Order: sequence, then C-alpha cells, then structure tokens
Amino acid sequence: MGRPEPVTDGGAGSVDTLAGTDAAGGERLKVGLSEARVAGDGALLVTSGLGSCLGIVVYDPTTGVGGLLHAMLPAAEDHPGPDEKFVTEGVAALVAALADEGVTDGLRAKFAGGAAMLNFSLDEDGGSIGDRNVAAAEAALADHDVPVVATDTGGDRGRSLRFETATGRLHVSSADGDAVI
Amino acid sequence: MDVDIKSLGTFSRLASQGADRAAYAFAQLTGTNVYADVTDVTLMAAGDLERAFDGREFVGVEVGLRGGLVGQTVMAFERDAAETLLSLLGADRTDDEFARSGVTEAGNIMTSGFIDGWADHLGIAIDMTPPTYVRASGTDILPDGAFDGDRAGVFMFESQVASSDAEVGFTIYLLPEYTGFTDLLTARRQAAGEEAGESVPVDKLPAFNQLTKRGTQSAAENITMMTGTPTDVDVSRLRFVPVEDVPSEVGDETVVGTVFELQGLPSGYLAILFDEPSAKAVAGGMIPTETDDGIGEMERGALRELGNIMTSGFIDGWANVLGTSIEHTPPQFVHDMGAAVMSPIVSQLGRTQEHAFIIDSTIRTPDEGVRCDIYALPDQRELAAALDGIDPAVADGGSLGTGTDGPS
Repeated sequence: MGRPEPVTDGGAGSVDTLAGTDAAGGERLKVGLSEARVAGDGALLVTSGLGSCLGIVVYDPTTGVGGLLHAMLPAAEDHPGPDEKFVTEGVAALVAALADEGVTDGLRAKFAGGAAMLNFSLDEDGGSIGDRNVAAAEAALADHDVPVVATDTGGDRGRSLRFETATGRLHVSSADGDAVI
Repeated sequence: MDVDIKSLGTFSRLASQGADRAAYAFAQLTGTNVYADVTDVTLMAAGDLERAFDGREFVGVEVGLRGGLVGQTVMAFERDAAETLLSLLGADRTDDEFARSGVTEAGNIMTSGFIDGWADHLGIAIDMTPPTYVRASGTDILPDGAFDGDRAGVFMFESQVASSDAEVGFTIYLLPEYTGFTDLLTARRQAAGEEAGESVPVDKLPAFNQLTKRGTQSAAENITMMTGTPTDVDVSRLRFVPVEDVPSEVGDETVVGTVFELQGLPSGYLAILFDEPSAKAVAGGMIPTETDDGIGEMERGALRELGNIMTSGFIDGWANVLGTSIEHTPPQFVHDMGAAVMSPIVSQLGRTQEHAFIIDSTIRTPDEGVRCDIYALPDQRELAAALDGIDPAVADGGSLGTGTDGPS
C-alpha cells in the first residue's frame, strides 16, 4: 500500500527507504498498518486509524530525514507477520533503515496512539494492547538509545498522524481536536 | 472441496502485488500519485454477484490460461473508471478505440503480474493467451466458467486504487474461472498435507454466506421493530484479507455503534456500525422524547440496546446451523474513526492469524436515509473447523432455496 514502486518482496516486510520513495518536494506519503517508511526532502508522512496501534516517528532534526512506523502489537514473539507489525521489531527495522540512509547520530523519537477504545477478555493478562504497545515503544527506543521527546498516548479516542520530516513536527488529529507535538 | 488457508493468503498477496504493479504503471503514465490500497479475496454467491453488478458497465480484458492454472480469467473495471484514466492521460479522445488500447494495456499489466507471481510461487509455467478486450453489462463481463452451477460461489479479487493527491478512486476486479481456481487451491492443499484448522471447506462458504444473510435479515427486522423504520438487507459478502487491511476496509469516516466479543465456536468479534446521521435517526426512533443534537447519553443507551438485540439475532443463526454455542459479551459503545475502531480488533486477531475472514453485511432503509454495516470477524481456524460440521444437505443449499437471495 502506498508504494510508488512495484512490489517484488512479498508485500509488507521491509522499510521503504529514500531510494524507493522519490520523495522530492514535500510529497505526502501514506504509511499503512504494519508498514514503515523513511523519507526526507520535506516529505510529509501520514497514517490514519490509530486505535490501540502506535505511530512511532524516529528522525534526525538536523538533516530532516525521518521515518514513521504504524505497528499493531508490542512484539513478534510467536505471532505471525512482518517486523513492521510489531513495535519492538518495527523500531529496530526503522532505525536500521535510517542507518542505511547514513542517519545514525542525534536521532529523536515521538509516538502517538495506544488508546484503550475497547476492552477484550484477552487483555486481562497484562493490560490493554494500547498500554503494552506504549511500554514496548519506550523499551525499544531506549534499547536503541533514541530519546523520546514527545508523546500523545492512551485515552479512548482514535488518532491520525501527519509527520513533517523537515521540521520534526508531529500533527495528531482526533475527535477531541488537533494537536502538534 | 477444502482449500488451504495459506494458499488463499498467497493468492491474496499475489493479487495485491499485481494491483501494485498496475497502479504503478498508471502512476507513471498519468503523473499522479495513485496506489493500490486494499486487495480483497471475496467469495460471493452467484445471485449476490448478479445483483451487485446489475446495471453496471464494465470494460476489461480476458485471458485464457493453460498449465498450472487452467481456465479463463477476466480483469475488469467500470466504464466510468476507464474514462477517468483516459482523462488523466490528458487524452481528448475517449472513443472506443482509444479506450480499448488503454484498457488492454492496463489489463495486461495487472493480469500478468498476478499470473506471473503465482507461476513463480509454484515454480511452474502458466501460459497466457494474448488479452482480449471485453465490454459488457453486469455479470456478462465474467468468464463463462465463473459460475460453477447455481449454488456455488464466485471468487473475486478486488483492488481499490486511490490517490493521495487527487480525486481518483476506482476498483479493479480480477475474476478467475471458478473450477480452475478451486482445483488449484485444492491441489495445493493436498500437496501441503493435512493440517487441522488450516483448510476451509470452500464449497460450504456460499451456504454459510446465505445463513449470515438470514442473521442479518433478523437483525434488520429488529431495527424495524424497535424504530418503526422499514429496512432492507443489501448484499452480504465474505472477504478474505490481510489483517492489516481490515481497518482500511471500514475507512476513516466517523462511525457510531457497538462492538461485541463472541465466545464459543467460532469466537471472534462483531461490530455494528452506523454513520453519524444514521445513528442519530435510528436512536431517535427509539427515544420517545426530543433530544439535543449529536450522540448523547440517551442515544448511546438506545444504540447499546439495539446492538444487543441485533447481535443475538445475528449469531443465533450461525450457532443453529453450525450446531455450536456462541455467546456474546455486553455491548461496548464506539463513536470514532471507523479504522481506529477496528484497530484493537485486528490487533487481537493478528496475534494468531495473518489473514482475516470478514463477513460484511449492509442494512439500509429504502430511502437510503439509514445505513448500518455489520462486520463479523470470526477466528479463522475456528470458523474453518465449525464449517466442517455443517450438514452437507444444508451446505448443498437444499434448505436454502427460499429467502431473500433471488435468482441464482
């Protein structure tokens, strides 16, 4: 989804990088569920429909290169799916994709989502998926030595995100209103 | 006839890649930022497809296949979409000859992507005849073998093509001949060996779909009974999609309704969702006094009560035919972006499965003033196991000849 190049790698499972995005001139690039994308050149990375899912941006404020991950579950463990479906593995993939672009130092992170909109019986052991996604993001980003500079998580409202790679601003929209973090 | 869930998943992925390639070609040709958004595998009863396609004009290409996949396959989209594409190309010609060459080219890219992908996956050769341009109304666009008898279903791959920076949106349909396609899925399953809960008795799915429609009918009657508003049931569809595509199926529009967790065989989730004006109208029909604008506490209470009754009616139909017991949790009220509402549900399903069956039914009032979508998302393996237990006489459609499904 949202890939401007033909897919030959079997769908989700790799972070699209600068070489593949052709992201010149403030292009608006959509990031789907279980996907991640890295861009620069003033590109806007957007994702929508975050409920319990978490949208995580990792970026370099000096070069204006950043990535957005839209993850569904805290960690792969024995669950099926690509790395980008999971916070822990997805953050590692995102950091690696930034490193491939030569961006390794001075990284910053922001994340939003992780709402508890619905209660399910499976949540009874260990809290809601939203809460566990947030905890996983904090741990994964700490593991990669990426400081978290802003978050907007929890509550019971869905969120949509727009990330300005040029400025590092993350726009969070929900039924409660819009915010920039 | 049992098909392997993994094979169905692989087909879904390959169709998605075919759509990506086609969208990429469109993007290159038109200079627009179009992309293939969601690709579904839909299994519909023949009668439902006839109604869904009724009165619509399609153009596309038909190819004949030999080798690992045998039969005719049609790739089609609506005539209006073809005109949109031609206008994006900057063409001042929208005559038939120009449409024919554009559609044939696009169809060739899409179909080759799909067929080549599958051939690569199997490591076998599938020969394709050159594409033939087709133009027809309704289900006449389908290859002759698409309907395999009156009671069988039709497999349809459906890809939404959208653009992030222009008002472009259309659907590409890929319709393989039913027998060749199910033969291939069956052969794959036999080659892969038996694995409990990993195969679906596909011949029972149309019957299951009809039963779901009956459940929806009873849910619709509950709306009528409680609100005094007459209702109709639209087409019910059973779709097979990657779990991460489920929220996109519901979209970003604001929805109001209730979500239930189902416990039993199969377990799963049921979401009963209205758009805001519909929710207000339906709740208003249940509340004897005037209320403030918007969805307040009174409306929430009314929609919870309605959801409870609709859910009971809906799942009773499943449980009776599957011979199982299914219970539901109390309603959880939701009022938010549709995709966000589905996100915790797919997170739960995504723990154990990569694809999800979505049973999607729509209830409308005759004046189209009220629309309600019911999304049932059963656990994939439990659904497969429960379907196995359907009485063959019922699965054959023997007791389903009456009802609301019209000619088939």
